Amino acid sequence: MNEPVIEALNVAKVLGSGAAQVAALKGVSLALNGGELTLLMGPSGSGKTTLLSILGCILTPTQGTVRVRGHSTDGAGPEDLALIRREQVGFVFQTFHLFPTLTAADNVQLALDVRGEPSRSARVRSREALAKVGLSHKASAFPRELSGGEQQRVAIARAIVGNPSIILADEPTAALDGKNGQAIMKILARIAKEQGRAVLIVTHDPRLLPFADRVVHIEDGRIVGEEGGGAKLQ
Amino acid sequence: MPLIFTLAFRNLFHDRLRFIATVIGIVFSIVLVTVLRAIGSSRRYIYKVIICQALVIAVIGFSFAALIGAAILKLTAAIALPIVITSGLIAGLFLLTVAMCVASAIAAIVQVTRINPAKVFTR
Repeated sequence: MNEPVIEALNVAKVLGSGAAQVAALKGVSLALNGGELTLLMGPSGSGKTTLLSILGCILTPTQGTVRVRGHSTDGAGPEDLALIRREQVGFVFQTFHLFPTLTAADNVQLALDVRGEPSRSARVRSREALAKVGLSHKASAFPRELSGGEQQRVAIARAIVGNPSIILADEPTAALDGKNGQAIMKILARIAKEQGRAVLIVTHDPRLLPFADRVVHIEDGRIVGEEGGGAKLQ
Repeated sequence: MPLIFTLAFRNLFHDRLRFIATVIGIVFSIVLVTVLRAIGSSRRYIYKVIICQALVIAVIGFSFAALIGAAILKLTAAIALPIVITSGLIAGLFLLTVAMCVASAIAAIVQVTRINPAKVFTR
């Protein structure tokens, strides 16, 4: 069996301090494999986004270990974690988080610019990434000129342009109607299958189940169940 | 134009209100910083964006001041006690303007170091 692309081992996370302290995660272990689309489902406050943040090296665990491609992130400082994010992780957010003053192509190119990639090759790669999500013709459009579904596709292009091994998506369809949500899920499933990336999607939406290879349920900071998704059954 | 400069410049003029706030002191969008951090940018990259903004403000501010100064010079040319502005004084004032804007950018940079990138999921 292949080594997981990323894994959390017995991860706990305490948020806040004093009387406001909350144990957001209580000993969670989860491994994500390349080529698999995993849904992380659970009620509000169950620790989904905290786990996503820890897997994405945005937060560090209070206890436990995260391994990215076999390398532990224990003891990594903020800049080391930023480097891991640059090289290994692509994020897709619920509200897209595109820069309104940049065109679609520039928004995608930004992910390469922060890596110091020369602008000529970055421009070519950003156009290629937009083509992969079917938006070549919108490269010069600003986010305000795009529909919600198109903005999310730009955000996906930004997430994949750096060729990361992991895509982490926080409620990527929550701000979209059903049709656009399905289109986004098809793209994310294709990214997992054709490009061999590990894709983890945090969601409440049961309509996404047919696209998943695995479904992981989390409640009260603990993983309470796991099952095969609709994609495995098809 | 380098993308980092485009980002700094256009973000500065994103809306009129932000520009007014920026003239008073460097402002930056917390969302901008958290998204940049989430996509893996180093602190150094963000500092560069903020310093770019400071330099843009310095050039624009100085240009306005130079125009006003030129108008005053013209109006006072005929009076008994004319104002004299030398090229050295102009260069000094420009350097002072840049220094003040960069100093206010450093205040913004101190704020940036305190932003938790995990806020990107809550905004």
